[in-house]
Amino acid sequence: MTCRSLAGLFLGLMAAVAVVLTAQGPAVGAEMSAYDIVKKAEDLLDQAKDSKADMIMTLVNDKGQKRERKLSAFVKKYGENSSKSILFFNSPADVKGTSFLVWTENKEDKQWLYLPALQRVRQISASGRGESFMGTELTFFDMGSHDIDEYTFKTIKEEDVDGEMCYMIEALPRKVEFYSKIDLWIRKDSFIPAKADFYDPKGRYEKQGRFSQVKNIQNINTPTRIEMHNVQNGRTTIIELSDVVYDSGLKDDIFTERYMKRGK
Amino acid sequence: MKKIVRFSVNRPWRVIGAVLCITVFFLFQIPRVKIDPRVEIVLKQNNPVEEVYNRNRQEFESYADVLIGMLHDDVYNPGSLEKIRRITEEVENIPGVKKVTSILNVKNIAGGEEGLNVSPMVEEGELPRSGEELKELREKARSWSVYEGVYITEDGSGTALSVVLDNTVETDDIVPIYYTLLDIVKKYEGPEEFFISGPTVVEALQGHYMIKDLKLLVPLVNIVLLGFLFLFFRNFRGTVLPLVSVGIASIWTIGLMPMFDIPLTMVTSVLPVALIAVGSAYGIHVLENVFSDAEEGKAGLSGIITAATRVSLPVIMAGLTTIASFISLCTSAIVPLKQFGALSSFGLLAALMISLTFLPAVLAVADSRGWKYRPHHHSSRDCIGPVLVFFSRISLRRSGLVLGISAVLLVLSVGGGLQVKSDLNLIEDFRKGSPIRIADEVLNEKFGGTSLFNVVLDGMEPDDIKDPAVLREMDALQNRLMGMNNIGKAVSVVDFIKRMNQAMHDGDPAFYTIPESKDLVAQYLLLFSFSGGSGELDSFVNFDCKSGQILLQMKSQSGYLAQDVVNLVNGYRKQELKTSRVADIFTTGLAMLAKEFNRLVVESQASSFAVSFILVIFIVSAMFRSFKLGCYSVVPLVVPIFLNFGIMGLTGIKLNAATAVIASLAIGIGIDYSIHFLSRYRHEITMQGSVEKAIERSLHTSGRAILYNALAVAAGFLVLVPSNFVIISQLGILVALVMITTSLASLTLLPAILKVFPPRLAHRTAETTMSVFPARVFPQGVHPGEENVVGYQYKTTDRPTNRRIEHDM
Repeated sequence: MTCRSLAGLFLGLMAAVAVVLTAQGPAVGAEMSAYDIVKKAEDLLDQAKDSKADMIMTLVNDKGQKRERKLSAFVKKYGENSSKSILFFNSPADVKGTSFLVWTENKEDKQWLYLPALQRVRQISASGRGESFMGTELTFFDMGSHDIDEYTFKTIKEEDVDGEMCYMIEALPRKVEFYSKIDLWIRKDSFIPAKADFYDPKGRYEKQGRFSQVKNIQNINTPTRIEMHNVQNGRTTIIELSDVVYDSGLKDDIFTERYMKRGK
Repeated sequence: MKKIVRFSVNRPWRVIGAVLCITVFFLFQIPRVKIDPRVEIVLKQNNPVEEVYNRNRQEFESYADVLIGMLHDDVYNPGSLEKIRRITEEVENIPGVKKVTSILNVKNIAGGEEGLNVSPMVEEGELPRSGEELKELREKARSWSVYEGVYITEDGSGTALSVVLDNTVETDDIVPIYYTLLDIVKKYEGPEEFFISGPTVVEALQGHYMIKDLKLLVPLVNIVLLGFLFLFFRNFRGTVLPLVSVGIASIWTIGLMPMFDIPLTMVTSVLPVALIAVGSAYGIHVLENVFSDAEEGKAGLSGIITAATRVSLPVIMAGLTTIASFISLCTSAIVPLKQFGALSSFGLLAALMISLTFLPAVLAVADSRGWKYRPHHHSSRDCIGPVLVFFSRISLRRSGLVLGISAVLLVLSVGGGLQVKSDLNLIEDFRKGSPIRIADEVLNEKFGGTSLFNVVLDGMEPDDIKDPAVLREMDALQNRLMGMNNIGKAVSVVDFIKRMNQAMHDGDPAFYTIPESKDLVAQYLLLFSFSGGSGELDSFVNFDCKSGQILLQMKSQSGYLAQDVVNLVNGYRKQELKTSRVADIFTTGLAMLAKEFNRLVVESQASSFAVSFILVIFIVSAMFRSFKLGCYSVVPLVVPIFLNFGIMGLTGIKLNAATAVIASLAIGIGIDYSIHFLSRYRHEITMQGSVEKAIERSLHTSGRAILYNALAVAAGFLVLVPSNFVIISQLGILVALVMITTSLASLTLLPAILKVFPPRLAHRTAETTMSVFPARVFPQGVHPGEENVVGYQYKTTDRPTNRRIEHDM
C-alpha cells in the first residue's frame, strides 16, 4: 500500500494511519522497537479489503472562519500496490454531485473528475505530492501512505496525551522531501495514534495532527476525528468520519465513469 | 533660574552625576530602537485607508514580495532555464522564504482531448533542452496571457521570479534576505543580468540606508559643528562642551524612542542632525557669556553664576519659541511628523536644560581645578561688515523697493507653491543610480511593474464572487484598468476561471470565457483545488469567496497614480456597474496609503503652520508686550517659507514626510532672528531716538549674530546633502536655503517694514528692556565676530562707547 492515491488516503484516514504510519497492534508493544511497532502497524493496516464512509471536512482559517464540505468516500483495494477510490461531494450545494475518481495501479495514479454543471468527465493530471489537497492543511503526501523503510524510527519516551499514555516515536526520513521530522504519539493500550507533529524541510515546526474519537468498527479501531492544525499559517482542517463500513463488498462498477455521473 | 544655576555651580558633581546617570540610562535604551521604514506606519492606526489596507492583507495571500528579474537576449535556452531552476532552488532554501514562483514552476492550466492538466509549466526534475522542447515551452507560456509581464516578457528577453516571504518575516529580516538574494544571483551573472526589487525590499532597504545615513551624517554634523565652534572659541572647552551638551540631549531623545515605541523612520532619523544643528546654540550662548565675563575679570564660580543666570532667560525664551514651533508638528496626522515634533521638542528642552545646568557645573569643576583655557580669539578682520552696511542701506533708503521685491517674491512663490506636489514614493527616495533604483527601473520597464495595487470587489454574501455576473463586472473593470497608463498588468480570478473553462472544453480558445453557471464556477474552483492550485487563488479570492481582487502591477507607487485608479474605479461603480451582487468596489495598496498621505500632509502642513504661527505670535507678543511686534516678527518668516514652497514647486521637489518639517524648522529657528532684531531695535530706539538710526545700529549689532547663526545652522543641515536618500538631501538644501533667506529677510524686510510702518513703542528705558529681554537674547553667535555685538550689548547702559562698537561701525 505504498501508493500516493486518494484510495490510500481514505483508507489510510479511516484506519487512522493516513499520516502517521499507525500501529494497531499487539499489546506486547513495550518490548518492541519503534520500527517494529510501525512495521506491524503497516501489516495490520490492510485488514479491510474495502471501505466506505461519509465525511465532513471543515476548513478553519486563522481568523476562525469556517467552510464546510460533505463528502462520501469509497475505497477498494486490488492487491499490494493497486486500488481504486471515488469521492462524491454532497455539499455545498454548488458543487453537489461533483465526483473524483482515482485508479492506482502499481503506484501510478489516474484521476478523473466529473463536473455536474458541465456534465462531463475529464481526466485530470496528478498533482505534486507537496501540494495542498483541496485547500486543506493536508498535502497529497500526507494523504498517501508511506513506505516505512524510508524512515528511521526511535522511541523517545512515554508521554500522556489527553489522558492516555502514548509512545512518543520520532520518525526521521532518510531523504528529506516534505518533512524533516515527524514526531508520533501512539496510544500504548490500543496502538492508535493520538498526535503527530510535523517539521518542515527547513526544520521548523509546521503542523500538528490529532486523532480522536476512536470507535471500534467491525473490530477495527478507527479514530473518527482527524484534526490538522498548521501552526505556520494558523489554519486548521478537521475531518469527521461517520457511517464507516469495512468490507461491504464494494462492486467494481462503482469506480467507473458511468457511476461518477450517476452519483452515489 | 538663578537658584538652579547656583546649585549647579556649587554642587557640580551632583549635577554632572545626575546628568551622566540619566544619560547612561538612555544610552542603554538606544539598542532597543527599532527601525521601521514601512509605509503603513506613516498613517495613524485608526486611519480608514490604513485599516482597509491591513484588512485586505489579511484577506488575501501575498502575491509577490520580492521580484528577481533575469534579462538575456532570449531566456528560452537551456543555460538560462537551468539558472532559473537553480536560483529557485537556492532561494527556496533561504530561511523566511515561503515560495518562489518562476516561469518553470508556475501552474499552467491546459486542456485537450485527453483531459485537463494543471501542472507546473515544466515538471520538476525536467528541463527543456532540445530546440523542440524549448519551442514548446515558449508556446505554452504564450498560450495564456496571465504569465506575460509577470513571469516572462512578451519577447522572451526577460523572466522574473516572484518570491513570497513567510508571514512571520519582519522588515528587519528582509535586508539580510535581500543581500542573500544578491549573492545568489551574482553567481549566475553573465551573460544574463539580474535585477532585484519589490515593495518589501524597497521598504526594508530604506531602513538599511537610514542606518548608513546615521553612521555618516551624525559624525559629519559633529565635525562641521566642531569646526564652527573652534573658529568661534579657539579653545578646547568652547569647542567641545556645546557639542557634549547637545550630544547628551540627542542621546536622551533617541533613548526615549523605544520607551514610547517610536521607531526610527525616514523623518525621525533626521533628529540627531537637526538637534545638533539647532540645539548647540544654547550651549554656545552660555559658554560665550561665561568666557566673555571671565575675560573681563568676572571669573570664578560667582562669575559663572552671574553669566549663566543672565543668559538663562534669553536662552529659555529662544528655546521656547523654537520648541513651540516644533511642537506644532504634533498636530499632524502623519505619525512620523508627529513623533518628530514631540521628540525634537523634548530634545531641545533637554539641550536647554543641560546647557543651563550641566555646562555651568562642568565649567565650575574645571574652574575649581584651575584648568586654564585660551581666551577666545577676537577676529579683527570682518567681511560681514560691508554686507551689513549694504543691508542697512537698502532697507533704509530703498525700503519701498525691499517691500516691493518681497511682495513680488511672495506672489511668485505662491504661484510656485501651488505647483508643489506631495508624494510618498519610496523608490524615488533613493538616489538615481543607486542599485535598488536601477533595478526597479529596469523591472518596471521590462515587466508589469514592481508596485502592487489592489482593486477589491466585495460581494453581498459569501460565494458571490463565483457569480458569473460578478465575474463579468470584474472582467470588464480589469480590462479598463489594463488600458491605463502605468499599469502593466492586471490579474484576477477571472483569468483562472476563463482558462479552466477553455481547458474543460478541449482547449478551444472560443471557450476562454466566463461560464454562465455559478455552479460551474464553483466546480472549477474545486477542480483547481484538486490540482493543488488552491494556494494560487488565495491571492485573488478570499476565504469565503465573498470578495475577490484584481491585482494590479503598476510602474509607480505614486499617490497620483492611485488617484487615477480610484477615479476610474469610482466612475465604473457609479455608471457601469450592473449587478446587485457587488456591495462595494474599493482600491487599496501602498499607493493608496501614498494618496492618503498626500492629502494628510497638505492638511497637516496647514495646521502645523497655523499653530506654530499663532504660538509664536503669542509668545513674542507677550515678550514684547506688543501684539504689533508679535505680528512683525513673523513677517520675515512668511516670505522665506513661501519662497521655499515656490522653489519646491518650480524644481519639482515634493512635499514629503521630510520636507514637511521645513516650515516648522524655519519658523522655530527664524523667529529667533526676528526677536533678536526686534529686541535690539527696541533697545536702540530708546537710545538713538530715530527709527533710522535705531535700525542701522540694530543691523550692525544683532545682524552679525543673525547671519553667523544662520550660516552655522545652514552648514549643519547641509551635512544632510550626501544622504543616501534624495528627500533627506533635499531637506538639507532647503533648510540651509531657508535659513539664509530667513536671516536675509529679518535683516532687510523687517527693517524696511519698521522704517515704513514704525510701531509706536512705549518708551521704556533701556534698562527695563534689557532686564526683561536683553538684546543679546539669542544664541546666535557661532563666529569670532559675534562677541563684538555681544560685548556691546551688555555694556550699552554703562559704557555706550565701547571699543568694539567703533570697530563694528
